[in-house]
Amino acid sequence: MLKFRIKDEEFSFTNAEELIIKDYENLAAVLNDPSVDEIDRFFQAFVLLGVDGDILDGLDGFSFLKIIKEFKDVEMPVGEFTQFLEIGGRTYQSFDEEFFFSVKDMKMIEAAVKKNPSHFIGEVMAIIFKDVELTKTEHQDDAHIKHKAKLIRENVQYKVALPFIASFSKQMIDNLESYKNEE
Amino acid sequence: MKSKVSIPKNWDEVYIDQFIELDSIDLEQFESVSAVQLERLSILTDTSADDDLWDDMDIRDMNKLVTDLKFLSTKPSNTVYNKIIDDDFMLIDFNKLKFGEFIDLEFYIKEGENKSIDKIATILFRKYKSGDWGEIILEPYGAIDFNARSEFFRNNGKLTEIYGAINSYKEWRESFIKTYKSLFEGDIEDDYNPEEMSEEELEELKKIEAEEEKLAEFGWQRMLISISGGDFLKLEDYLEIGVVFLFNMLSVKTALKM
Repeated sequence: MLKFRIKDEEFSFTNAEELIIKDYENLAAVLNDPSVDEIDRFFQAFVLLGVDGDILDGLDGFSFLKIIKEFKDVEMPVGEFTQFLEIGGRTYQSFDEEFFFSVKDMKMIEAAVKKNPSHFIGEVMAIIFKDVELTKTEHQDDAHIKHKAKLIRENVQYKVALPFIASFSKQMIDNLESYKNEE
Repeated sequence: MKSKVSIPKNWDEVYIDQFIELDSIDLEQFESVSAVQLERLSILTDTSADDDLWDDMDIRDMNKLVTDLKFLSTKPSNTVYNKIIDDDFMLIDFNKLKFGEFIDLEFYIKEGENKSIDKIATILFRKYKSGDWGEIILEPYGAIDFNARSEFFRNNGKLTEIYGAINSYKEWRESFIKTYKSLFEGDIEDDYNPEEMSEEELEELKKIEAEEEKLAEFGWQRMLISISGGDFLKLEDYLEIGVVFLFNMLSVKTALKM
């Protein structure tokens, strides 16, 4: 839980990484919504993080901007790659010995990100985590990925996804670099 | 997992079928950079993008392979090879092209020389043997199973063995067309200025151009019918005439207004 003290009043926020993926995606969508001005974006984001909207309404502009600044300065710790997830009695595995993005997974992930740039974390995790009882073909089935993404969104915290998303972002930059060098 | 995939390092190692597939890649159909790279690599390794190989390969290993693909953004060598594929096929003398062969080449060039490179090669490269007097006898065009031969070139012909010959043919063709320019031009005067034309004249011009465009699709057939005097039994004979000789005669006929 994050705590900020403004004018003797303490504000408690749920840490963004503690949110389940579904809520984190909503938070990210709000924070990246270009149709809403910055103050409104953070107002909505803070409400999603558990702050009482009435209290925020009562703040003067200066205090609100101070909270935004404090919030922006919070760094999310990137943990280790999680190897197994247990959801609904089934086991999902992300790697054997060391995590890497396979060529085919990366192709699927990039397509998922392109399809829905503000809600892709569930799909990314669903592509990375494979049901240990299913075959490769079953794993790559669109309907299966969709189903798994929903399960993961509703049951897994964002902090589990964070190392994978950070690694994915880095890899995307590397991919673009390699493409640029080739051209 | 370390990559054990071997890919061509330059155009000399690329086969015709691979070149046709690479050339047909439509970037807009792909959802990501990785998808494009995967498509290129699967073409150059004769695998499919769905192959298990790509399931197990680390994307970083793929990116290392991709660095070897820089040659794809360069042009293949223009060296003209007179004999290709274990010296089994010989490049024809363009000046000895038959009218029928020339028409077919025009069709495939119009279709896209990269897309039809196997078919163009089928016309330009022939099997050969020595005659009784040591002369070279080329396999007749009509004796070739065109589809089978195109497929053979697609799967066995290296791009650089054929690419230069096609460019050389294109140069010859350009010079040929320039020489017989008057025979290739239509009847429409194109030194008009649309700004000086009335609406009725513009309308009429549009109709003529549309009609010409329609007729152009059958340009060679029309020429064939015209020179054979409309005798359909002679059409095949005319297709066997050397194209240089034929156009020489046609230009003489035109010059003398015969």
